Amino acid sequence: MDRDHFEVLGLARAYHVDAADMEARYLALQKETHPDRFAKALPRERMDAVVRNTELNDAYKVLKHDIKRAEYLLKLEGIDLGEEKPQPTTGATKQLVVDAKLLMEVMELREALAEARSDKDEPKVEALTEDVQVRRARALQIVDEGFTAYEKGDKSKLDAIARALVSLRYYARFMEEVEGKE
Amino acid sequence: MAYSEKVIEHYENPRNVGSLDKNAEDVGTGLVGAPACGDVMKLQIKVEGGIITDAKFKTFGCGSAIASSSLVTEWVKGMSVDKAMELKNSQIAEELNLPPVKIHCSVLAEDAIKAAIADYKKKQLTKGS
Repeated sequence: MDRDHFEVLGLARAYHVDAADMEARYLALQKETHPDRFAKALPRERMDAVVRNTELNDAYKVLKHDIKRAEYLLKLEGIDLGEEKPQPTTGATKQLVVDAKLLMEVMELREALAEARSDKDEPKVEALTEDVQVRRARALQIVDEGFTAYEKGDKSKLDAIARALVSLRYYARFMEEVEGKE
Repeated sequence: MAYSEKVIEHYENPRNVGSLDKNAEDVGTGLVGAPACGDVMKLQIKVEGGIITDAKFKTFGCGSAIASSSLVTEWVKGMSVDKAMELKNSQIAEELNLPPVKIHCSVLAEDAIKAAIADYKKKQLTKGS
């Protein structure tokens, strides 16, 4: 009964997708399931359409976003990175253990940023930002290469992808801090 | 999300922010992170005769994570290592009135103090060898 997001959009499970094709599929299905079309339909049919429409929107929201799509694929493979906003009931779910090396790296970067900030050392803040961008690009490359292998049936890189995705979450937090977002 | 008064109080006046010498024999360091939210927390203790005489933390994360680690450093100072080992995240969550979605922040603080104690104990085992 429950279809995964890829099935909903009629796509194969893959990280590399044709964004234009995905959007076209989304728009076509959106039209097909739009509640307006079922205004005069039987209650049962109307309910079905609402369910399919919601399912479609949920799927597209995740799949159109590169990193969310990557995290979702891992989840389908049994590796859950956890919700960004954990639900109250998920307290018992196993959490991925963060690599000690990554934690040290992140702690050093965040301390350096805090220091540069308090010294009002703008060039240093910029240098750190560039540094993190480079790390980010490297992590994205690991994700890209890992999924290229995955799409050829080789699942050996999934752990490496998971680690890269976790580091991307930390780098995103760093960038938010630079941009002053809460 | 509305933070409780106690969280805000710790967030605005965090206790014991800073670092201890992580290479010192009498210092234990715990470094933990929550991949889900991208928080990172460092908690350090200085131990003399089985008693925690100083504690410092550095947390980069949300207000609840900062408050949880601040509270733990405050609590463990003057506590024996064995007693500190028994600290539960539920005590932290209760003291700070953490909402269910922020319970994981208190879990992180419990993990951090346990990791710091483990690091200290490991150092004592290898001491002088």
